[in-house]
Amino acid sequence: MNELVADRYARALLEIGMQKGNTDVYYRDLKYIGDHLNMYEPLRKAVEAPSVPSSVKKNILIELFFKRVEKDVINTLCLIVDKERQQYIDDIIRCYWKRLNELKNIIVATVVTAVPAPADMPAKLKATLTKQTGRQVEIIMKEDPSIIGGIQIIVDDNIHDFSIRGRLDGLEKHMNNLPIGKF
Amino acid sequence: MSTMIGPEEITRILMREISNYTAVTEESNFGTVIQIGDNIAQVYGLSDACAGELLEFESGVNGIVMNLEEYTISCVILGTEIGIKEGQKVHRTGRIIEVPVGKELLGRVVNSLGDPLDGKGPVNTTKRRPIECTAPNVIERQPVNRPLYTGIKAIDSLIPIGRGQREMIIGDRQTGKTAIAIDAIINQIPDDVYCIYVAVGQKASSIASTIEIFKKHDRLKNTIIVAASANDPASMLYIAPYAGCAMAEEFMYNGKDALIVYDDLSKHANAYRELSLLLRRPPGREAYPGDVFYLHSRLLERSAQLSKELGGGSSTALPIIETQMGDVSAYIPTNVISITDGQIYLDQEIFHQGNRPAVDVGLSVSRVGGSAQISAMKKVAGHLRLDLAQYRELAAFMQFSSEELDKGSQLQILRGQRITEALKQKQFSPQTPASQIAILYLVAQGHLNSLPVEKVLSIEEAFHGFLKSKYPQFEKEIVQTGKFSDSLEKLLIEAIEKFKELYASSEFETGTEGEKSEESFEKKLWKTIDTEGAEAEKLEGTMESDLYQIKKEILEDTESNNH
Repeated sequence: MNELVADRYARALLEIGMQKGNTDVYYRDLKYIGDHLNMYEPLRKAVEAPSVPSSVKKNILIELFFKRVEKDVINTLCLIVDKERQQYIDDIIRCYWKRLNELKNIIVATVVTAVPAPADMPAKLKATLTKQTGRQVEIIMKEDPSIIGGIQIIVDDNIHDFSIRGRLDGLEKHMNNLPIGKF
Repeated sequence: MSTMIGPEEITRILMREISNYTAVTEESNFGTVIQIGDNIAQVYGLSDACAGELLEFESGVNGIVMNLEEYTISCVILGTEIGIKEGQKVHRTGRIIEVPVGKELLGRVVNSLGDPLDGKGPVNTTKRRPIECTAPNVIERQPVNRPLYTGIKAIDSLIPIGRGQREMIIGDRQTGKTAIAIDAIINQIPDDVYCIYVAVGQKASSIASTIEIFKKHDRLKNTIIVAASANDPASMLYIAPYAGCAMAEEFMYNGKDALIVYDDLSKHANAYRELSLLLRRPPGREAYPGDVFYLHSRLLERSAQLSKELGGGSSTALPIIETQMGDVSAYIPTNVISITDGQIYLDQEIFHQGNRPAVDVGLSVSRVGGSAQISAMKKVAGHLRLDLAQYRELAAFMQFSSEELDKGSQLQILRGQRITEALKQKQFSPQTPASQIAILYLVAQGHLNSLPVEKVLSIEEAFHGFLKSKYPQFEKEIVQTGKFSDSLEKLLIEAIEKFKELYASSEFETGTEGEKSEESFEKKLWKTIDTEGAEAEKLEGTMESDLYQIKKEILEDTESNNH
């Protein structure tokens, strides 16, 4: 449901951006707005609260962001508020980012490590993955101690598991499936 | 088992397995649980998942993909939803759900996934089959032409079932639907017909008592029990019949014969309705989803008589449907009626009248079984249905006054009453086709017309014993030729005459003192009244000495039967 709604706004903005050649600027602006919403809780509350009339919300948003972001982005924001879809703003930003990456043929890979990765690792991985896939790769680093060791590379909903946790799980399955009756 | 295995040996084997294990790093597709409840999980991602695919949750339980939506998929969880959290990863397995199959399962009680429930350790099968598969197509089949005996007179004679047939058993609650199915399983000879009993949504206690019955009659070793009891989640109830069907198919495709009982498909439809409503599929008539017909048709179509090229195996299905207040025109019963090759209709009123099995001969049909009947049975049972129909019509008149009826009608009623009586049968006492032919011949020809109706069943028992000890060639010939030739008929008539003489002159029917005079009067009556088709009897003096011996044997025989 979220995606269904969010994707529609994101796509509309992206298509306008493509016409004007402003796609990257729009993303920067969207992220700028999103960051502020995340940073200032009262702002988010003001935008999302149903008791605040939409005209007031729009006034706040225009006053805050008018000089700082593109007009099209402000208009999108106002439209979102008019249609009472403000709780989807984060989803819209995410969808826009996804569509933008698709457009620019960029793969986003999330790399999960158990401990903080060495500083040169992202660059190295990026080079290798770019070479392998033949597409531009953007790397997001993430830490998750539960994988114990090794790394996991997640692209969209595919996971390449090189972690200790994954191997242990595999071993567990293997041992569980031993044909007991055959010994 | 004499010495304990040393820990070193176990360690060695484990070490070997661990060192043999090579971690394969594969690309795998995963999704994230975004909602869980009512045994349905909404999973985000898994863009490559196929409909019907098996998924694996982090907690170890599996799920089946049921709905593929634009960004999410809905899947039903096979097992407990406890331990599944929002945000957990869900992995694809790339296969559809499979169950273990094969002879190793015989004698076992398993759940819908083929996991043992009987505490007898793991099921050591080597083969697995997917639970969903397409039914054999037209050229892979051949007509049903071999009988499958249930051992129940009313069914084998009037509603015969053939191997590969789908015969529905339908009736209200407490009319003996399961009893018929159980009798049919008990009547199967081990290693001739393998049986699968699928219990869907039944009380665990009923399943336990059914298992006890199989054990008692030594048929558990020939039976696989797939149990999805009332406390299992709807998803397990939903897949249970398909799992059982896969086990039957394994026998069928290996040239063997299988008998599968689905007990019962109404509860299966209810479980599927529950799932469908939770999956937000639009409800249709009686709130069942639109594909509830396909739910049962794809299951029952998988029962077939395979062609000779494919080994000629068969899978006979006995789906059970429970009706509410005798309403056969409800949604599920009409669906299954149209899918199956006939139905055995059990009536509550008939049941309460004491005619058990409570088969309503008028409403029950078998569309293909007739061609599977042996000619001997056909010959004897041919007129039975007509006789019964005529009797029922006349019986309505008889309620006013029997005096008014003409001789022919009175005879019809006499015979009808005795046929009805002879079709009664105790539970767990299946009869061979030859025994059935003999007794049906006895009543159909009017040999028992002069006897009071209540005596028919005791006479039947005695007659079986007599026939078995004195005329074993009768059964032998029926089994060998399957025909009821003129010479065989003569033999049977001869046996009947001898039996009558014996019965009339002997006192092996022991009653109380008061009844005795009455009884002997009846016996005399029977002796003096000419029966249709039978000639007047003469007691030959030379028989006297033989008679004593026969009587003794019968007494022994009936006694041993009672135990």
